[in-house]
Amino acid sequence: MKRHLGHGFTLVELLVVIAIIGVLVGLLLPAVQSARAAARRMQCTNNLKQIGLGLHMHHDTFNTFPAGGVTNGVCCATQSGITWTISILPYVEQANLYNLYDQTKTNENVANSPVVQKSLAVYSCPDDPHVQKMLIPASGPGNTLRLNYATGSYRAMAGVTNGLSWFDAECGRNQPLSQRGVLHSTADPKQPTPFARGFTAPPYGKEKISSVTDGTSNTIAVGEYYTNTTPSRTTFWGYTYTSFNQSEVVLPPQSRQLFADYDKCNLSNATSVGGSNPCKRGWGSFHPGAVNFVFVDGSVRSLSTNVDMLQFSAMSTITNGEVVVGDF
Amino acid sequence: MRSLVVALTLFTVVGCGSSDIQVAKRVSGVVTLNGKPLANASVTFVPAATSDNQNAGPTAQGLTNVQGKYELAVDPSTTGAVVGQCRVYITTLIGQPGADDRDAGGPVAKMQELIPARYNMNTQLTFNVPAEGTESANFELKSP
Repeated sequence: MKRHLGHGFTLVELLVVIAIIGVLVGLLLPAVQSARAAARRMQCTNNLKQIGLGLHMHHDTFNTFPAGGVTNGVCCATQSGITWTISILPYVEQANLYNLYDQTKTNENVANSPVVQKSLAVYSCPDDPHVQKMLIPASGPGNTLRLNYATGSYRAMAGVTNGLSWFDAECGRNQPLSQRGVLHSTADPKQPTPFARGFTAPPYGKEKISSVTDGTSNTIAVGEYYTNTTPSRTTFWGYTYTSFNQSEVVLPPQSRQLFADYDKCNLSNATSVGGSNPCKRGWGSFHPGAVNFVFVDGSVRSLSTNVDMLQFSAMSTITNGEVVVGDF
Repeated sequence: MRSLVVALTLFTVVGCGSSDIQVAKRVSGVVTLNGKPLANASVTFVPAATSDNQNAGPTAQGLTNVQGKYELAVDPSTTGAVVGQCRVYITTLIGQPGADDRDAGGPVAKMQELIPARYNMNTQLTFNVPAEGTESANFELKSP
């Protein structure tokens, strides 16, 4: 009987090899995963940088920043005009899409659907679970007309309010001028009729760099918001109506505005100022513990979700004169 | 071999950072306005950043009942408030959940603030939350 000495592996050898491979894979997998997460976050940050540059190129061309949105009358059934994301399309390499958008028609007009239904990489953060989708937003004329809009991940900073009226709508003029953000909504007198108008006082106009007296590096322009719950409340990049591509900070400060979870934020409605409205206008991301913002100077910075909320509100106004302490 | 595995496991586990934000489990108190219990007022504690700690921590909120008593929670699943110096906001301008889904304007705009601005928008109230929590975070407000 022949014996195959020296051929094949013994059981112990096999187990040792498997154990070593297991340890190596166990070390490698988390590294690969975090490298992937870092890459996604980097792309997300890069999009914000492009948006910041786009805002500046818009300012170079028109000598103002774009309006957060153009409202054409009082809330809430009135259809809206153009919004900041569409205004800067030529400066984020989407001039053809910009030319498709008919500014003589409302944002909700089906003639403009091919534009607002297009998913754009520059407005999509890879960590956002709802990117590359088309959904019907939860409220406004777009909801009444059952219109689909493409989702997005970035919102303009409209300002700081007391939770009773909003810089992303016509009622923003009820808030102190000093609390406005750089990309709040306005009504553009050059917008063609027939837009119903019901203003009792003129809304605040578009902003220039020179009106950012708090300092461009202390003032937020655009930040992230998306939610994994209630997808119809996530960001819709091309939907002008109030709270779908503009957000605010509500005083007294509420950390729930940084939850990135619309439903969880809503659970605090009964004890918090503004009910569900601060949740509709939140900020948040799925990067661990941080939300990315591009400031008016074009720098992109991460703010911790544990940020001092008063500091956060100080960074959200352009002229309120608050002192931003420390290095964020 | 076994010690190697243990060492590697420890090495990977220890890598996770820990937050230095401390939340006191129970913080409650009573709010009175001109000596009477104040019902349906929202109480917000906002932790302040310091030069050596930029991450102040989450805000905490509570609502007073008819006896003026409130209890704070930092989020729906965590009661309490962040330990340390907090600015305090007390307001009666609170939302009415489910009453109106309008995104702007609407009936909430007609709500009345019963409390002077020095207790909310221009608050001068502060409270130092002790690590063991407290049941006497009381505020005696005066109006006007």
